[in-house]
Amino acid sequence: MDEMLKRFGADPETASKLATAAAQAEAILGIHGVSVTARDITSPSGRAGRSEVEKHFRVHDTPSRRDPLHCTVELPNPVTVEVAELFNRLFGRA
Amino acid sequence: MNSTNGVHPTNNTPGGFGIPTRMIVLGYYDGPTYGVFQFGEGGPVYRFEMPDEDTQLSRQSFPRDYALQALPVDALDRLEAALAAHLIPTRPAWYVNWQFPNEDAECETASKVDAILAEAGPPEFLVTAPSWSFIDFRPTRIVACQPI
Repeated sequence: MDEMLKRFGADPETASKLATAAAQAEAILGIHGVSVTARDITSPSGRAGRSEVEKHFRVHDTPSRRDPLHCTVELPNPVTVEVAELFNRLFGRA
Repeated sequence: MNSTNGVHPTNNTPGGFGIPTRMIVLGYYDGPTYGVFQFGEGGPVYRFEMPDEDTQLSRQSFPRDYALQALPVDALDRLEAALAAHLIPTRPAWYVNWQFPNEDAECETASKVDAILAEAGPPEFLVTAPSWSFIDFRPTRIVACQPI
């Protein structure tokens, strides 16, 4: 069964915002990417099957003590408007 | 600020946190959400976490609120040592990728880590940070918490 990845929040995100988050993750996790989780959440979120996301972006397992199902979706650098649109579309927020 | 997760803020606004000099990150979502950091060599050590984490994250924006709980000054070193038995530490910031060679190693480490984190006192400060990775933690608001 395909793992369901969730990205917190229901609104589409700009390329600039995704780029900022990706740069931050690169500094701390060593991956230029943004956070998603496969854990169950009830807060508003965008959702996408892992296999669908992996057709376009690499998904790294980056579990933490807090969230064993945390993953990082690696984004190209720079994060273009087209990349942001694809990312938002995948997570149903376009 | 309303009371959240047992944190009861007062109007006191002590400052002087500066930028953390060391940090171990045990939770992350577009930035640290949970962990331990220290301000200055031999300086105060705090366990930090986001009250109502999922609700805050679903806002998709900064600032974020963090509750700080004091730990013994040597807690960060002991935490690093406990984790380093199976994982490779990095300084000054270490994102702990919670993956172990086997289940025994994970259970043993989790037990040690949780014991150290449990030494934390009650929430002492509620801190609002506009945005931060490791190097740009600049709280815009620091609220002292009353004992629960």
